[in-house]
Amino acid sequence: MIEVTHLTKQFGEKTAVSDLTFTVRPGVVTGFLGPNGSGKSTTMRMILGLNKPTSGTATVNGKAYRDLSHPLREVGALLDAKALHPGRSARNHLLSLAIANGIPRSRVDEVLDIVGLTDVAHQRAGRFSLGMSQRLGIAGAILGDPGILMFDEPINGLDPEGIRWIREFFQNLADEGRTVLVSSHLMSEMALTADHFIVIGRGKLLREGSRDDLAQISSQFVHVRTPLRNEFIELSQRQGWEIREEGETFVVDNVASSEVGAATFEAHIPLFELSPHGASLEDLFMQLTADSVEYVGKRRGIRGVKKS
Amino acid sequence: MSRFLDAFRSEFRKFLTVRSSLVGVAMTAGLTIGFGALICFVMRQQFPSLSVQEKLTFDPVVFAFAGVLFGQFATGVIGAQFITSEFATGAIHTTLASVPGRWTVLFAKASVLKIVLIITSAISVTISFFVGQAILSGPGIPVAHISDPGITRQVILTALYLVLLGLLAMGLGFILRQTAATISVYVVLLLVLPIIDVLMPSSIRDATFKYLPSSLGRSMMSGSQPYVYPVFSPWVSTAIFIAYIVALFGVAGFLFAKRDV
Repeated sequence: MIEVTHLTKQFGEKTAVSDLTFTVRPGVVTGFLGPNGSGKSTTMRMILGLNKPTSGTATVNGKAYRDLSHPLREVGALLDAKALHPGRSARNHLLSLAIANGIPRSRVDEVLDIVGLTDVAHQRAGRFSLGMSQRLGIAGAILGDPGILMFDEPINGLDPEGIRWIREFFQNLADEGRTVLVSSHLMSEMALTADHFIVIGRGKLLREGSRDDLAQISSQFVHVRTPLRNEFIELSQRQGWEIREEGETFVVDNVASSEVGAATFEAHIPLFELSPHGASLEDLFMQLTADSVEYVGKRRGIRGVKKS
Repeated sequence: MSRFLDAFRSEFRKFLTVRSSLVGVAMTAGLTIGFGALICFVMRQQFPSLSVQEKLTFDPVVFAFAGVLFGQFATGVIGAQFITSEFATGAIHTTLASVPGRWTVLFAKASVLKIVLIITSAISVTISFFVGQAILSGPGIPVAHISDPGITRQVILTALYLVLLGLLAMGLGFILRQTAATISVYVVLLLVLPIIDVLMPSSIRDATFKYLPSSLGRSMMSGSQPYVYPVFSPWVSTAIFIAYIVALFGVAGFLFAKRDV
């Protein structure tokens, strides 16, 4: 269990994390979402005691990270896959971590095997591709068989096969009853990976909840196509539906498709299309974070403004 | 305590599994012994042409230890790199996630460095002494024997000087966190500061010169002969240098514990 309570971090004038409170529970994969620069990494670094909170607390299993005597046995984290000495071999890197945390040496070979790096264990870690570095970072995170795992943007740099592997891997960790927190700036990835979501923007909590909780707040709408357009507009007015026209199609907001179908049948209006839609998690994420994106591209083109 | 021992063993493995630290150890030994031998060889050729005064104050041990003036830079690089490379690569994050106690990490690293440098410099300095005396020994040139009074002290304090210099660089590294900045300050302290001080009015120079790290080192390395400018006795110099290191690590630990990484 990870508990973050009124966590705030200021870097000079800039507030990176602002009064953030959430709990990450065991048994599910929790997606930690937010645009780039929204404070995800800073929050994770505070949980690990790398950054000191300006105010508030972050605890793991009820304790501050620095009070853990052998932290890797309780918390495994992958924040930056390249955060290691490039001249040291993968195996020696893991051995140094194992020694510091009283973890048996045999476990090092075990985790190298789990992530599939046994063959390159004696190569210098600096020569690894980003994908291999991610795997080495994951090996370091699971080294102490910890009950809590944190991964910061773990999908970056993985090939499609690796992405699938890591999704199943997270799910297995959660199924084993572990607490799994995975950050990402891409909802589309997290929608497939996580069951519980914490969405932040500009360091503030925007939304927290399960997949279903989030689906409920997202709006639903119905697409309707019919040859009797005027009749349908009149019907909508009688029923008090809010409709918009999108080309050939009518969009009926916040009404169930069953209701639209029954009413049009009563009114003898033939339909060519009647399809229910819910905003995807991705749409919802975009809505939630629209106001809190830190660095926005100003134009779509790459040309400078023409001087005439 | 077991926490510290685990951290210490982990840092020891980290030190031994990076090529640059092993190269640093080899450089320290090579420069100290090599330049000591070279300078003794040159002195052997030049001895007959020295003035009577110079012949009377000739200290064969000082020349045997001349390589320390070169070896000290390799020592500094070892001490600095051991911590600054972690800041440069981001490895410090992994280190602190594995051992969250900042003071524990500081003392573990300092202990590993101390042990490595004690072994390296004791061997280098001892070999320098014997090689130097062997090269110098010739017609009419005075040489020292390890059993002569004060010689063991000279050998031990010279080795200790190199150890303290490595710790000086490491302490600076914890504070400055960048390799280039750390080495620059280290070189300024050892090479530039004495030059500036010598250019000062003599009253200021005579009051301050003896406190410079390089002057403390001269005194620790030298025999009984007085130096050009006033310096402390070898033991007082040693005590002052140790006090510097303790104070430096106090500041380094305070900042390391306080700062974000």
